[in-house]
Parts: sequence; structure tokens; C-alpha cells
Amino acid sequence: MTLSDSRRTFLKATAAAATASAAGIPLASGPASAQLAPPDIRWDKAPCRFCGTGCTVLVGTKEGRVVATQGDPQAEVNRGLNCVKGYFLSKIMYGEDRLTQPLLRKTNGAYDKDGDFEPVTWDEAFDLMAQKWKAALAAKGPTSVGMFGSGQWTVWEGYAASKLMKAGFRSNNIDPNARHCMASAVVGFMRSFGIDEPMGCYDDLEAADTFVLWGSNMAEMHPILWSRLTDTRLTKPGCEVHVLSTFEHRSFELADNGMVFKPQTDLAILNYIANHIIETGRVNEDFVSKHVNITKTATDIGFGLRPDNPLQLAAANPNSGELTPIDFDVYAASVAEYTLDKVAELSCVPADQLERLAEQYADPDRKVMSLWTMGFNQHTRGGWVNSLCYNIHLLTGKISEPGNSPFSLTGQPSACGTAREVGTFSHRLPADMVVTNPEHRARAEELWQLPEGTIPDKVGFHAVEQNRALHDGLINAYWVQCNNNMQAAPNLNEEGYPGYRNPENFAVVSDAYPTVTAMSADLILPAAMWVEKEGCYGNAERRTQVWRQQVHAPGEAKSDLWQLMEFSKRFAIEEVWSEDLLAKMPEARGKTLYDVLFANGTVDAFPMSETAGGFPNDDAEHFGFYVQKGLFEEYAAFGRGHGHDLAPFEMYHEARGLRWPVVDGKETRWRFREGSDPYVEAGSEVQFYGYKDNKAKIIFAPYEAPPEAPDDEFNLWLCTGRVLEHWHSGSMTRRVPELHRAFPLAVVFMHPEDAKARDLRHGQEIMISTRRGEVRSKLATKGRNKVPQGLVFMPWFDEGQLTNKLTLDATCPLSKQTDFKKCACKVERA
Amino acid sequence: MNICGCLIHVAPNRVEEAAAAMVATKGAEVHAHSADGRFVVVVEDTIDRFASETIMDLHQIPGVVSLALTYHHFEDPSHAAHPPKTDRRPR
Repeated sequence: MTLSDSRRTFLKATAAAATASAAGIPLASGPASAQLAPPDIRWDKAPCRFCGTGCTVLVGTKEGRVVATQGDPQAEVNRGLNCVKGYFLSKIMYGEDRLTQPLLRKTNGAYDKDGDFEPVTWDEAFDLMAQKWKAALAAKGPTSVGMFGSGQWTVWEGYAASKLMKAGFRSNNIDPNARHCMASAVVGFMRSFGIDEPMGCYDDLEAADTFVLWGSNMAEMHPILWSRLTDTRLTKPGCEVHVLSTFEHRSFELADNGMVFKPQTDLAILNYIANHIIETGRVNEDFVSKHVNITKTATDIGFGLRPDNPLQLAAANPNSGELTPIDFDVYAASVAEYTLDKVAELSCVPADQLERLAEQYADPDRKVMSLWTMGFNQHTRGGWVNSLCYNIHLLTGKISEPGNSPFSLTGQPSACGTAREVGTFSHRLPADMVVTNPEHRARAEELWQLPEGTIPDKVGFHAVEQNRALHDGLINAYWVQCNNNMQAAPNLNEEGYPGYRNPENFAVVSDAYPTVTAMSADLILPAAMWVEKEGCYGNAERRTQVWRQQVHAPGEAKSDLWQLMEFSKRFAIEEVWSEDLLAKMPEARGKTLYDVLFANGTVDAFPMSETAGGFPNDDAEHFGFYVQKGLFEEYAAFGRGHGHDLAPFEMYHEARGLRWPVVDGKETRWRFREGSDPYVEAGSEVQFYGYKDNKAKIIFAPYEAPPEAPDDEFNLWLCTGRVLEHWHSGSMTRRVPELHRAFPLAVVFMHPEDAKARDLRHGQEIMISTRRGEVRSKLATKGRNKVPQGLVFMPWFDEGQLTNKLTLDATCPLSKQTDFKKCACKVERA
Repeated sequence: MNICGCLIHVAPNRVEEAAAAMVATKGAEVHAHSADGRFVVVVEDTIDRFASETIMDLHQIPGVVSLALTYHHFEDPSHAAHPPKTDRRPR
């Protein structure tokens, strides 16, 4: 345990040198050098396992264990820095209760849904699982099986899962937890630009004059990007930071203009800014006339609740995303009612602050970067609010160039690379294609070498619907990988838990730890994580990053990829495909799903000899070919030549990631801009080529009230979210003792006056409740978050306080993403 | 055992008070700083505090606007994580 003083001094000098080197600060003891690293450690690069920033860390391995990490000075994203979670990264693999063998609920030696978990072999686990899948398929067909995946899956895991579900089991009931995270961002991109993901990149963090945070606490949730933004704010004269939120958080420390607005009124504020730009004559008319179409969206569209919910029945145009072209004058008239006075009153933000914000966008001489995460996305009008932000960038032409950048940040390491790009959503196929488009299905079937008609044409159940379908017994065989959805999904009392425990259902969870979700399942499969496998992630700025396996997974834990592909071996094609489909591909008869999907000449095209020497690759070894490269290359064929080009596989093992489209070995920093994006034709300046006419859309949407607001009984807004120390549900970070000790238990942040009115004190035990459930917690009236009167904030990382017993499963009707940021609650003495 | 190298950004008008608070923090050593308010700080475990707790203390010092880590050494991973003791089956 103790180290010699000389070793300790040496390690401290190493730590100081690495830091000074990354920051370009000279050390008194001589030139800073990160090369001081202890010689007995093998260093290799890997992207961080946590958020969507995509920092590269150098992973130090000694005797088969990871013993050190450092920020990678060669990484363009983080330039040698890491955040506090990144620093604890390696410890996530070494939690005491790591799962090392499959566990099945049993009584007297046989499977029993009400039994206790007992260790079983992989064979016993997969035999029973296959039996349950086959029974469901035989009884009710493909719509009775389902899968819930992850923006933390590697690219090839998500790709293999999507292919197994959509082409193998012929069910579109696959959705990722990214549905809770950035589905509204996707809807915004697809509607405004016809193609997904940001046009700009992190280089904008140095190029902008003004940064506007719309519902993002970057200081705690994206600390490395925040440190870059901070650098710019502190070193560039005239630089300003504007922060909008429904409560005051750590990012307000740096704010020149910090604004706390009433929940949902961001819709009105954005329309006010558009109105201000028009009224003060600062519309970039040349840009708008050349590159923009103007539309309005259908209104009164409901809240994504169950169809028999009274709020849903009352909606005039439930779930409608219909767009109607309008001319500029009609648009101007539509936003004209959002006057400064009216919006100041509605939002409770002082008029002078709103005007100062609007001027940042209106002033043609200021470059503006807008940044957002869950404040926009977890919103019952999330699809709308994303586009309202694009509207103000399009009106002024402040887009697709250095520093002018509407930028949707992501919460998971591969929400972009995996969840969005490979097509793990219930409506999607790789490279932005959708299951409802016959041409898209045909293209996927062609690349997958499968007969016409293999992929079903109906959108599957999305995240929130999956829990409802489990509850209603419509999905009976269900597999969850790489996420903790029982803790993460809304309204768990009324939908999630009764769904998993429905006696008709068999629920399987693959995870590294016994999470709430795993413990709610019938079968638990132990998973390899992070550098225990070769992987690939894609971050928020379209950067694809690959890493090598560094260490072996403990016990019998296996990667999600191994699990998916091995499971597919247990199905004869005749057991899953109909006779009419088989008739179109008679050579498939007698084969397994594995043979048809993965041993297809493409996925198994690359030999083991192409894997890197000196590093383990357990998955490739098991299957006998370079499985990761094969899946990557098959997947990459979807995007090459279609605006999503990926580089040759080997380049990613060398580079610190590359931003797609990568054409002729060159990455793209600003999409849609001539000279930066190879898809834009010479002489056109800008082409929003996601749409055939090369124009983006301004989409007018009005302010509409949320489905649930405080009333006499439930008299407070409840906003849920995260804290710096913990990532999402805490299944990894709570197993790092240092992080657990730093923020062990969730608390409910409340304004001191609200506490006084309820006769409550800081630190007191309280009961927080909504119409759906109650949770015991402790009150915090001081600390890092300062909430306004009338609103409480509760983080959801703590499995001892299941915050999502409280939340409402209302979603944006277009994106199907839950609004975790607003519902009505009350707080009482416990 | 944890040893970490941290880069800390301080608002330019609060450098002196923040620097004093950092120097006074047990388990933290200031190794260098730049004219624009950036500090190289090495943090290690003390007898009664983990490095991580000290890092979170540094985060809360008035004037500190961002804190990033560049290096973490934990050669003896002797603190195996104790999972929080809760009944994980929601009821």
C-alpha cells in the first residue's frame, strides 16, 4: 500500500509534467515533458467510456491490469486533459460486484420467474433464451421480440444488433437508450436539414465570439469542452457567455448573462429572438433567399402519452409533423406576437437580458455558437425547439462556418457513432435511412445480401412504447444490453417494472454489474466493458474513434458483440424466416442465422493476421476472423458516397479519430460549406444537401404549454438531471469508491424560501411525490445548484432513490423522447 | 493510492485569493501557474481524504471556473468498490 518516498516523488513529478505539458506551462524544474512515464507500463489510446465529448485517454497497462490513465496530448478534442470522471475511468472495470457468470432465476433447479438468481453456464443461458425467443416468434410473430440497446454500444455491436433484429428476427422492435438522450436532436436535424448530426465541430469553441448555453450545464456535464470554452472566454477580448436554464448551476459562474427561465418558455424566447432579428432589419436576406425554405409545423400535437390518455384524446393533430410552406411575410407575422414585453413576462427573464441575448444573434459582426443537451432534447416539444434554434442561425446565415455554429452536444460516447449512424432506432437503417422507405430497405437488403422483403416496413416500438408493450404483454422476449433502463426510463412504477415482471415475459439483461435493470430481469448475462474488447465510438462532432483491447474481461464475461453473434447460431433460418422469404433465397436453407448474417463473405472477409500484434482480441480469436473490421467495412459501405464516408479501417487505429465525411483521407470540419465539405459543389458557397434542392428549412412552431404543470396539490416543478461526479445511472461511477464518497446519495435541491414555507431545513429527510410515485430523499437548500422558487432539482444517479418513479412518460410526439425536465411534484416532511 | 495532475482555470480577477486557497488545501501542491490564471496542481490522497475529495474541494473554491485532470496513477487498486447497499428490485 505504501510507496517509497522516491517513487512517490517521481510519480508526482510525472503528474505535474504531464499537466504542464498539456497546458503549455513551463515547470520551474525544467521543460515540461510527458515522456517521464514509468517504463514498466504499456500505453495505448482509447476514447473515454463516458460522455459524448470523445476525449482520448492514454491507458497504462501493467501485468494484465489497467493501472494508470492520462489525457492524450495528441488528441485534438481534449489536448491532454480529462475530467474527474475520465480520471477514474479505469476503476470502473474493477468494482467488487462485477458480474462474471450468467445468472438465472431458479427454484429447485429449474427456471422460475419468481425464483432467485443462480449461476448457470452460457449454454444453459442461451438454450433457455433461444427457447423463449422461438416460442414468442411461433406464437405471435416477430413483433413479440424486442431489444433495448445503447449509445454506449460500440459501432459494431450496435450494427450487429440492428442487423440481427431487423434482418434476422425481422422485427423493428429495437431502440437505443439514446432515445432518452438525443432523439429530439435527430428530429431537429432531419426536419431542418434532411441529414443528421452537427454541421460544425469543436473547433468552433475557439472561433466563436459568443457562446449561448440553451439547457446545458457544460461545466459539470462536458467539463473538457467547458475548459476550452473557458479558455476562449478568458483570453479573447469581448467574448461573452450566455447561459439559459430553469435553475442556476455551475455554468453560471462564467456567465456574462445568466438567465433562469420558466420551464417550457424557451419556445417563446427563441421566437422572440427571430422577431427581434426581423424587426431590427438584420435578416441575412441573401442567405435566406439562396439557401432556405420557410415552413410552419402542425400544432396541438399531443404529448406522446398512451392513446387513451385524456390529454392525447384532446389533441387536434396528435403526433403530426406535417410541414406547410409559408412565405417570409407569413413567418414574420407568426413570430411578431413574441414581443420583448410579452416574452419577458411569460419567461420571467428580465427584458434587458433577453434583448442582450437577442443582439448576439442579430449583430452581423458576432460569431455565435449555440450549445444544448437535455434542456432542449428532453422536452415535449423537443423536435420543435431544436428547429427554432436553427431558425435564428438560418435567418442570420450564422451557420456552417468557423464560430457560427448551432451545436447539439451528446450525453453518451457513441450516441452519434452507434445509436444514430448504424440504425439502432426502431425506424432507422444505417446512414440515416429509414425502414418505411422501400428504396432504403432495398439498399440495406442488397448490402446485406438478403432477399427483397426481409426487412419489415413498419416502425417498431420505441423506448417508451417498449415498456408499455411489455406491460401489455405485446413483447414477450426482451433483451437489454449496455444500459440501465429500469432506472433511466420514466414512470417506472406504472410501466417499466410491471413490464419486466409481467409473467408472460422473459427479460434478459447484459451488463457488467447487477444494476436495477439486471435485478429486474429473469436472466443476467455478464458483459465485457470498454478496453476489455476492441471498440469504436463516434462522438458529437462526427469523430469516429477506434481502440484496441488492452486487458481480458474477468471470469466468463463476454462482449455484447460475442453475445449477439453467438446467440444467432442457435436459430435455424427456417425457425425465423417465413417460407415465402426462404423461397427467394433457397441457398439459405439448412443454415443458421449466424451463417446468413455474419458468415456472409463480407463480415468474415478479414483474417486474424490483420489484427494488431501484442494486443489481445478475444472476439476475433473466438470467431476465427477479424470480426470488428468485417463489420466495420460492411457498415461503411452504406455511407461511402452518401455523405457519411468513413476512412479505411486501419486509419482509425492510427489517428485520434476522424470527422466524417472522410473523403480521400481528409476529414470534414464544417459540413455544407464550400471548401470544407467535399460534397458541396464549387461556386455554390453553401449547400444543405440533405434536401434535394440543397436548401435548409426554417420551421415555425409556436409556444405551447406542457402537459403537466404545478397546481394546488402538486405545487412544484420537478426537474431531473445529473451531477459532475456521476455518469447517468451511476452503475459505473458509483462503483468507484472515490466518486461514490464524493456524492454518495441523491438530494433534492430547493429554494430556501420554499423550504421555509414548508417548515423544512437543509439536510432534512423529505418525501417527494408526484401523481405516479414517491421517493424518500434529503433536502438541499445550499450547494452547487441554486433553484428558483417553485422548482426543485433532483439527480437520478442514485439507485436507492429511484427518481423515475416520479417522472411522467410524456414525450415529444415527433421524437418520442421523454421530457424528464418538467412535471409537477410536492415535497413534504418524511 | 492516487496521484493526479490537475489543470485549474481561475477567473483573472480572483487569482490571488484562489491561489491562497489552493496552497492551503491539504493534499494539493501547486507546481506552476501561468500569467492568465492557469494552475498546475498535483493532488494525492491524505490520511483522511481521497484525492478525489480534495479535487472536488478545489472545484468549489471561489474563482475556480474549470478543473481538468491530465494524469492519474493508482498503482495499488486496493480500494475495491463497495456497491451501495440497496434493494435493487424496485417496488
